[in-house]
Amino acid sequence: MTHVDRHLVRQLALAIAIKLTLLTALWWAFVRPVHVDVSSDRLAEQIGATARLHGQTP
Amino acid sequence: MTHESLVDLSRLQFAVTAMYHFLFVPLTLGMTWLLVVMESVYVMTNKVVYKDMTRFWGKLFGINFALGVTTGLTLEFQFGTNWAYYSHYVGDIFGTPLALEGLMAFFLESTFVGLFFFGWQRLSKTQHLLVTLLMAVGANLSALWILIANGWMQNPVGAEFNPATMRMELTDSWAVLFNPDAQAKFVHTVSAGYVTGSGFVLAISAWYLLKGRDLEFAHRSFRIAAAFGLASALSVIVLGDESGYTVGEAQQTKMAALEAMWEDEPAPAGLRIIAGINEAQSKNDWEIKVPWVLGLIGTRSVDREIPSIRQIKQHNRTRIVSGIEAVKALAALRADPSDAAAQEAFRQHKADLGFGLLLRRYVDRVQDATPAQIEQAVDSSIPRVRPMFWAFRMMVGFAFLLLALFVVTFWSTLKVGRDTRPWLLQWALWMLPVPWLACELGWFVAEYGRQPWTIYGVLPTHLSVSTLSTASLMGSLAGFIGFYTLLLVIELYLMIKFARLGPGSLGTGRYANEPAAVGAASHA
Repeated sequence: MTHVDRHLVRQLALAIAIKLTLLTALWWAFVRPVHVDVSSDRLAEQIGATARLHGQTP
Repeated sequence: MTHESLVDLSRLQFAVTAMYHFLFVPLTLGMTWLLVVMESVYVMTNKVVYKDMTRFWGKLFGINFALGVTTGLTLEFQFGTNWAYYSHYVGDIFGTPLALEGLMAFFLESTFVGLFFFGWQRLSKTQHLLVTLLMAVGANLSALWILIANGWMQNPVGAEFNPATMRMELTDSWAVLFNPDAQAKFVHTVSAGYVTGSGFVLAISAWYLLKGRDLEFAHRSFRIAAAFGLASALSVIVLGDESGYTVGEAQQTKMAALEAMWEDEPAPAGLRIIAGINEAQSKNDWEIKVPWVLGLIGTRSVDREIPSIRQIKQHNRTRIVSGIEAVKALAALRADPSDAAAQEAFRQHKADLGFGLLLRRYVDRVQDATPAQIEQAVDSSIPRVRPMFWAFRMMVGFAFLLLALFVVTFWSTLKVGRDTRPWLLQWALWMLPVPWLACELGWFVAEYGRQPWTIYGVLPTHLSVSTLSTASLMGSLAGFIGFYTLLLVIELYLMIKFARLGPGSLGTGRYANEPAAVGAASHA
């Protein structure tokens, strides 16, 4: 392995480390706190197919 | 009703991240097979220049792989955060190929990428070639699973909606695996990747030839790229035709939109080369048309009509009205699953449930939709024509430009001296970004043309998005753009640096720009 290759390996390792850190940070900031209820009842409500909508008073 | 800005921001975020991700993917797809070709020639001829080619182009492939790997993860993040209802509705089917992509293809590819780089002195020549081959198979398998998932979004076969669970459930896994849309998209997309890889090697080799350096290395690389690129460009056009045919069969809306075919035409329909599209009045103000061609390409017959936008809208109006009945029956079934009348009504209308759901964009209670709201839903069932029309033509134009480049460069390699003509080398060099542009336009046509659906005919986009705050979405969008831009800058920096160093970076003592050749003898 030439010194150029060793330098490249170091740079790629650093890039991957930065990437994983940023991905973790993005997940931590924007994904981890988000919780969306996706039960079948909630989905029925989302698409407007609830019993409430079937001729009953809202 | 879901706020429109939420839908738009979620779509924008997915589009931006997918398109950034797809800057890395096609080069990986193409480079792996070029490395197989180069190393095969090395194993067959024992000429060390081919080993140097495999190692040098493999180094550039490695930079792209290292920076591209895991960039698809943000898309997976979004399925959970921004598209939670989509994930619930179709996750049982859509999630399976994604999981298989990670477990089977990506692990295979990653393992062999490691062996490719660190196995030169530990494996025999044939064993190393096998490693390179399996690396290419892994990369392409990865694309296959992703495109099976995407193909199902375009043409949702082998699945049925269950009112009890509110999910699409798999009924025929073979239909999903051998979905004609998925298969056509797979071969078309990987071929586009091969063109990208070939264009990349061709352009950098042309630059060495223009500079008059590393001539033997550059000539041989240029020849392989020209030959592989010619075969790939022909494939991408022929397979693109197949992909267009499957679109015509399964997604008539997309076909009519990208051809700006507002009104019915007798078969075989003509192909509009260019047109002045007037979306407000649903017509073309002017057009240049070649008779028969669209009908022959789109239906492969002279007597089958291609449905026009007007015809499709009429059909969709009927389906929306039927879909209202499906939504009513579904609501009744949710209240009382044993309601026999609701079961029967749902059975009759369930194929149109998705069309009924298009109304949720305009009215809270689908059952209360007015004729004007039904008309709004009908109008929204067609993607915007102008972007589709021009994006498709630009993609096709770039594809033919690339075909011309590869025809001329391949021809130039058949006689000594032809491939050093400066105009040809300049042309090859300046064409470097074109395959990426064509690939991105191709994705745009495929995905924008599916609108207003996430799952064509089944689940509208506006019902697929999570109920998040727009501030949160804008924050994550800015974060993702920053993340990908940084990766792109690093990729460009390393690619330009190593392309400039050239094969001299291998330290073999045989090339220009040699660094201190530590261990050079062991690589020879």
